Amino acid sequence: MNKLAALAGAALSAALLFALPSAQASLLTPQVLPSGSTLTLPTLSVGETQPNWSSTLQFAQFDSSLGTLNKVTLSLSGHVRSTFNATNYDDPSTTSTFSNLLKGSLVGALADGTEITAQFSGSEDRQLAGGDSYAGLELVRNEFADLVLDSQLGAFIGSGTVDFLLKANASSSVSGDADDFEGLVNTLSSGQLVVTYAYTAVTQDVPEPGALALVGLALAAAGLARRRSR
Amino acid sequence: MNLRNTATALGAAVLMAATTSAHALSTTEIRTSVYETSVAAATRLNTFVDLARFDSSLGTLNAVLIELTDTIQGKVRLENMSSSSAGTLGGDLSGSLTLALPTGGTLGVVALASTSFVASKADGVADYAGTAGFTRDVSGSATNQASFSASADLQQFIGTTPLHLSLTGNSGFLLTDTTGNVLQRVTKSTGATVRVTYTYAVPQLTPPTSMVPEPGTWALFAAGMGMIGMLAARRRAG
Repeated sequence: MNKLAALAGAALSAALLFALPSAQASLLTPQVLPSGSTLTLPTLSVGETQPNWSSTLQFAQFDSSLGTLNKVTLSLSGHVRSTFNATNYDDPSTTSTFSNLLKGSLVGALADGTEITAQFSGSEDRQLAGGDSYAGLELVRNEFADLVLDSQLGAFIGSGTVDFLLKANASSSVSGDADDFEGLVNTLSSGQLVVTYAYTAVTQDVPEPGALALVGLALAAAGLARRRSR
Repeated sequence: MNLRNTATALGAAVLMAATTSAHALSTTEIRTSVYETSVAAATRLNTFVDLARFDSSLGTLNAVLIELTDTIQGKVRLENMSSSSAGTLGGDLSGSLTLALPTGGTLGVVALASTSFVASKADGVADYAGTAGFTRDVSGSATNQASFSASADLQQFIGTTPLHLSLTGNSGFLLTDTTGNVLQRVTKSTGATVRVTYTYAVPQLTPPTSMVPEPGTWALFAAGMGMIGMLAARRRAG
């Protein structure tokens, strides 16, 4: 009878082992909804650097064991920060005007040439009396751009990484009417990339009839063994 | 018969020649008077320029030409300050002038001076020199003109009081770069010149010296007379 009980126990654990993988899968993919699942990768970023710069960002490919990849969303964001200092050396009795127009762009490109661009622009107009300095005029612009791909996603699937070449450009133009003018434009730009995979998860396994039968059998055997032992 | 006609034609030619030379002899002399004034223009110019009107005792005013010249010059100094990128630096200076015309309306002109420089990454010294910066003198000028010949317009330029014309203008700079990091210094100065030219006719005062027909004309005349005489003689003989 001890033998039988041991057998029943073994059968039970075997049945549980069979059922476990599905349980694990459902834990990893909490939303088993008709719309599918999403996986957001850790944010990649380039900190404030003087333009024009370029940097290759690498993000993980989609693990196909999770399901079927439907859509890749590349969200590019960044900011351009420009400080402007000006001095008007004209006669103090005069007043001049000046304006600073700043333009910047963040351009990201995938290996196949697909690009995503975020454009920045900002301007300010000021008046400045002769002999005066203006310091710390600061323009900050945040921009966002999304690239959504839903076909030909082969390049995003695998166990390796995807290269994303990010470039930041900036230009400024300063105009004014002072007869003697000094200016200093200082620009820094940063960029961030967030990649989101949308996919249909592997369907959650309902325990198969065979497994259920095994469990039933094990329970019956355990019950029988107990009855006999009495 | 034919000969007689020819002679008549010849006589007419002589008469015409005489008439033409008489006209040429009465031609008046064309002269011009030029008045010019210059202004050192400030950042924003708003002034008046005075120019002499045409003195009608000199003759008959035929035409007036007004020329407005704008000059701009300056020094452009730029330095690329980006430690990560080379770029192109540019400096443009411009000046514009507007002159009010005595006939109504305005005359405008724009002068430009520009320069550009391909700069390396920041060279570490903010001295407007080296591979990342430059210092350059630039200058430019432009002239625009207006001319008048209609008598109603010309009347505005005749008199003893000077023309008092409003002259306005401004000048500016535009500094550009392709790195977003740049040190700039620009100085400029501008100038305006207004010139008026009067073209007029002076009546010829000296008596025409060639009122007497020239020897050639006399010879032709004599030949014509001779022919007429000959014809008359022939007719008489016939």
